[in-house]
This record gives sequence, C-alpha cells and structure tokens, in this order.
Amino acid sequence: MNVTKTITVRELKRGTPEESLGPGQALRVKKSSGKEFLLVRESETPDLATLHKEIMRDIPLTGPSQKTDLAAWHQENEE
Amino acid sequence: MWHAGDVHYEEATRLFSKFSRDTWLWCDLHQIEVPVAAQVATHREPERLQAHVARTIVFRAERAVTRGGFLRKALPPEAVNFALSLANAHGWRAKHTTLDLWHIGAAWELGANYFATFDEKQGKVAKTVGFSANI
Repeated sequence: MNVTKTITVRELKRGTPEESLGPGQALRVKKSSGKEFLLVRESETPDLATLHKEIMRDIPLTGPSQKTDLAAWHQENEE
Repeated sequence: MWHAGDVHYEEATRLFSKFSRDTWLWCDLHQIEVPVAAQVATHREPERLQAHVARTIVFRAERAVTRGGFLRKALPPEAVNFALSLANAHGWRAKHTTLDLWHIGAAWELGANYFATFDEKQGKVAKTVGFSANI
C-alpha cells in the first residue's frame, strides 16, 4: 500500500483529500490524541491479466481465426 | 494483444498484464487510430484482415478502456510541438510518420516514462528522448 501523505482529522473534514487518491493509495489520518488511521482507496479496476482474460472470453471471435502481423501491416500502410 | 492469431499476441499480452493498473494511457490518438487501423487492414492487399477479426479487435479494445484497463487522458495540444521537434531532429535521417511522432509527443506531454510499441523505428526515437521501451 502506498501512503501518499499524513493529514489531520480537521483537514479530512474540511476538504476532500481522498479525491486525489489513486487505486490502492492511502492517506494517513492523524488525530490529536495520537491515534492514526489509514484511509484507503479500494481498487476500482481489475487486475490487468484477469481483465484481459475476461475480455477475450466475453468477446469471442465469431469466425475462423487468422494469422497476422498487425504491427507490420500497420507500418506498411503508413509507408 | 486483442487478437490471439497475431504474431505479437503473447508478448503484448505479457507486457500489458505485468504492469499495475493506471499504467497504460489511452488518449484521443488511440481512440481514433485503433478502429481506423483495423478498418484499413481489412483493405490490405494481397492479404486482408478479415472483417470479423477486425471488429472483434476493436470491440475488445473498447471494452478494455471502459473496464479501466487504460487510463483515459485528453490529448495535450503541446504534443504537436513536441512531435514537430522530433521530426526536425530525426525526420531527415529516417522515415517517421505524423502519427508515430505524435504518439511519442503525447506520451511525453502526458508524463509517461514507458513506451510500448512493436515498431522498431518508433521505439528507437522513443528511447532517444528518454523513454524505456519494450523493443
């Protein structure tokens, strides 16, 4: 977990510091009593390997496959 | 990465999957280039990309963007000037297209530090300006 900065409870109440957090990032909130809490943004996006598998499964090829070198074909087109 | 029959499929998938979320940027250039490149490939001679394969690639790429696999960013206008400076520095010695250099300019202006491409010429220029690259 990546704790981006430490703020006070007052800063948390007066602003929206949580809006600046990326997925997996956290803010440390420190009370005047000395207690500390972590405010963590949970991930909104899935793991990329899982996402890739899901997309390949959810949108199957609906016809015969084809061997390609799309990067080379794209360069041919540009030239 | 979105077509299992492509020669770069395994490598592209491995590359995409090994980085964390919010790594890959998707800007207006990708938004237009992916579908148009797929369409153009369906007109290639002598071997055309089959239309159902092209459409599937586009659908999968769009799904990846909407599902958060890429971080969407607006194309910074400053990318044009950066691309032009790259053209001045490299364009007289090697052939580089507008889109190739524009992509590098966009990546630079968006603060990227890694550039993924399977175009060796583009990768070489990306490295000269300080990007890490996969080739």
